[in-house]
Amino acid sequence: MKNKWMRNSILNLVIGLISIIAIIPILLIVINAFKTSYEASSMNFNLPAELQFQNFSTVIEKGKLVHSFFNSFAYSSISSLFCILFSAMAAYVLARNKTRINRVVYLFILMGIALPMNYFTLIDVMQWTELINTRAGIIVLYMVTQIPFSVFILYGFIGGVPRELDEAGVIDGCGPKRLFFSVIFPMLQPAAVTVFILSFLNTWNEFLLPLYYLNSAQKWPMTLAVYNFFGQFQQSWNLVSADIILTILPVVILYLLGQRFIIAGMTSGSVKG
Amino acid sequence: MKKALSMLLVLGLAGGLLSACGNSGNNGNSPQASSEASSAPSQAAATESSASEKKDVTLSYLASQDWIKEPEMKLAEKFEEQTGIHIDYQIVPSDQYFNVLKAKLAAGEAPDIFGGQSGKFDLGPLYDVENNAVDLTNEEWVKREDPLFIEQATWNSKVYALTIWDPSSSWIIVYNKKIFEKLGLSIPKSYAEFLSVCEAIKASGITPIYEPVSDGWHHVLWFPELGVRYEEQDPGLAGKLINNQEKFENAAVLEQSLSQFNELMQKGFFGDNALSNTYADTEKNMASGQYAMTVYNIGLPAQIEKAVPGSSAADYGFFPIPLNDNQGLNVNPAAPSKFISVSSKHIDEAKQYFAYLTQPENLQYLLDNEPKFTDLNFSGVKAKFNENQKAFFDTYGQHTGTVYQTAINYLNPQWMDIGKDMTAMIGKQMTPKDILKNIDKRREQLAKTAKDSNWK
Amino acid sequence: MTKRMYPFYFVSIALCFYVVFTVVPGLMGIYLSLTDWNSYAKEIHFVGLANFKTIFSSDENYLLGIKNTVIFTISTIMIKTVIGLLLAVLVNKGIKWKSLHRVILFLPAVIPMLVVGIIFKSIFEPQQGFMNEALRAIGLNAWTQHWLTDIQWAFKSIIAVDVWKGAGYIMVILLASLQAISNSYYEAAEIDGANAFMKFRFITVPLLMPALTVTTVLNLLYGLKVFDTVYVLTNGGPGYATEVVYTQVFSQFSLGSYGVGTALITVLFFIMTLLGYFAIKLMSREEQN
Repeated sequence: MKNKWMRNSILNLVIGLISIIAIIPILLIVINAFKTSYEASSMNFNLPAELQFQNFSTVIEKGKLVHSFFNSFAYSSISSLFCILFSAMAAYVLARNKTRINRVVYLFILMGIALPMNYFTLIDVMQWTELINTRAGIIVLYMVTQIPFSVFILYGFIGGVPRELDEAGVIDGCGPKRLFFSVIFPMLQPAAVTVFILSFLNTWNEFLLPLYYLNSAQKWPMTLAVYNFFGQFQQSWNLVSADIILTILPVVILYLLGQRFIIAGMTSGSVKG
Repeated sequence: MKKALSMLLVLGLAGGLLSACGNSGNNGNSPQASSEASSAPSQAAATESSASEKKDVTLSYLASQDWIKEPEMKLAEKFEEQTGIHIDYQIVPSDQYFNVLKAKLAAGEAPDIFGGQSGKFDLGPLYDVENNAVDLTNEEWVKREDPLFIEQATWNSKVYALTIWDPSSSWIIVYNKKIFEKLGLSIPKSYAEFLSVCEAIKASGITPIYEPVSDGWHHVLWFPELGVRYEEQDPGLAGKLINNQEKFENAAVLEQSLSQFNELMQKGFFGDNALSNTYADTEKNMASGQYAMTVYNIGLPAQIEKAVPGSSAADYGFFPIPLNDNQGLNVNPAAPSKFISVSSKHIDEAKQYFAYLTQPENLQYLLDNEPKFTDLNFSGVKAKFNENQKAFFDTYGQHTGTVYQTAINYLNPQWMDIGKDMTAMIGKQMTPKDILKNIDKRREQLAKTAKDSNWK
Repeated sequence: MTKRMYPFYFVSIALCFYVVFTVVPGLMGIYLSLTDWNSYAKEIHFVGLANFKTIFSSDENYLLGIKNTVIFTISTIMIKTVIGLLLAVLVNKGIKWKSLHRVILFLPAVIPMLVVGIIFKSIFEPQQGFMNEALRAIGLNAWTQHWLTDIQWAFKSIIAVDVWKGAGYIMVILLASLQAISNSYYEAAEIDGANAFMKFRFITVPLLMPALTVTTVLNLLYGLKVFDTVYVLTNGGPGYATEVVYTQVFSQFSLGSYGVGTALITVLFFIMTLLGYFAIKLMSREEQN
């Protein structure tokens, strides 16, 4: 009994330490976001004399964050949703029907994880498809960049979904569409949520594509606003910190929501690795 | 929980789809129309006045960070009030800027106005101005702009860019007068005197020089900024280097300045922290009294006074970088400039904007409201020099020369690489000679890709 | 039945998008690596393998970049996998405040690399930075370092920052699989008298193999492509000590030599495809055992 108690407290200590290491840099940002510019000039853990909430309003106004927030949100969520849908459909067929052709197609798509982006040649493709300088174009690009990895994850997961479900569906008289959308797709929830979070994250933090393929600052996402903010206000660590917090907040919230989602999806116990 | 989240997602999806479709629909007609259509409503919603009765034109303006000063944006707002022409600033992170611009120019997606560093060697090779930029030779403001700057914005005798910049922003040594007084030191007139000044400062427990190496570009200044002195020591060297009749490797004066920079470093005059120091912290550190000198321009004292409570601009003086016994003033008439794109549908409006910016009262407004500027490269503006700055220009302003990154071709594009080489020299992995050899190698690479007939 | 129930048009949507927006520009890029494409000349000429010769000639720095990239990839894969696995097991059961830890540990993965770089540059600043301040505060003055500017430490610091950012991400992927393992396996093993290590080795690890494959391949490709971590922390410095392939690509692009830059990317792409393929093969065999 004592042994177990010892072991538990060591485990708690270990994870506590690691968590502290993980959060210290972030705490540093949070504390400095509430300081005056002078107090924050060397980033440390001294508490601010007075909480400077106006840092946040300054940042929102100067960084034009409201508008870019909605851009970012639209780009990330729409592209991630379509990415899951198309990737799941592809992964499902590729995983279930392993013909020679399908195996080649699968590896071909996987290759995309390694394929680097070529901004110069992509601009030509964007012109041919008339997607350049449109929000739709950016959404398509973000979706495409996430497809190979999403197919990879979902493919592995579908392998664990029992085939008996398909057979039961066929006996019930489902067509391929109904079988996929009402039987299989709901089963993919845990993997789909993981994919959604990861792809949302990557998209949220990306800012080069809009630079190349949009011609109006009105359509720019939030991360780009942050990047520019640093250049302008490098000496004001308090504002930079406030800016960082506002930018990562949406993704943190998404993760908090999504995490419960994963657990809820898992409790049914119908899916086994 | 689950339901709320999925509702949210569905809503986002629907909203996004609508706006996305609306956009691509517009784009089918004309790309210009789409950018206006999407930006117009949000403009109206923002603080800017409605411009319905005037021209409803948006000029897109692509520029690198730091090229567009706050007062210029204010002027653009006034310009919009008067004319209805809106300027959509697209400020790109500086390390990405050139690639983004190049990709857009190559694809014919250039913005109406784009920024670029002027430089008489670069306009053709880097920006292909003859095919990409509008000829501005006959604009009224060309006559009022400093001819030295105009020269750098000219390619094949046509002016292609508007430069509004501070001509007095040379990189010089800014020193703390109080420290010098306390230690009984006077302004060094030679490298030997500079060494003994540094020695004395170091002995008193103060780091002689604040050098932010970590930014990668600042410590390079010590080398090409001495163009004025190189030409004095070895007349005609610049001309020979330009035509590939001489190599950097064989130029003794160039090796001399690099060796002296290295000597300062190895003697500890930059302190233990130079590799980690950042440019952005210059004001703070200079005000702290822990450093006696730094390479900056004459605007630094005012910036220090503004950034650090209790400090005074009057405490700082200036002298030229004294490597190679330099006593001359280095000037650099190449600066961030504005070009109008040939493919723009609003060339006249863009010219109108340039004309507006260069109106004397607007130039004066820009100068008065930009803390980093003390003068402008246009006749008729009133500079804001203080006593110390006047004294500096009175002493050194007679003997000037152009810095090497502007005077010599194929040097400016490799600035950051030279920075890495110099850092390697600090770490004793390279010698001054190695650095010069590398510069030659990269110049050859650049010249050959540019099909320069002097490099065969 | 399979043909009817698993129609190819399900695949074709993703495939079409992928081909048009990734493969086509990619192939065009590979073609450009065989040309003298640069920012100065207006026309592009075919030059064969000249760019590749430049890369593999020994008087250039490229081989150092490749070596550093490989070291970075291998060390981050190992460290991140071990820590990520440990964290996943710990936060799955047996400790207090599980949810809180999960959130905190994942947080670093959420922050854009650019921001991470800015934060850690401040933390690693030798005089006032938090790292050295903290070491001094607990009396370890001798341990203080010039973390990012000392040749001995710069690369290790970069790896440390990357682990800090990436371990939580690995944890999340592994955690999802870990939760899918039914308790009945462990109960059965306990009845057979298995100890904690045996349970971990013979139940947890094999069942986690698909997820471990994911994380390893992911880390492999990510590591070989590493750019922003190095770029924001040291930009390849001091000197050239921490140069990796992509920082060199970036330098080439800044110099306007797009041909050499794309050739370098192409070389890396083939290395990645090859290693990625073998990693998947290798690990799926392990899985079957």
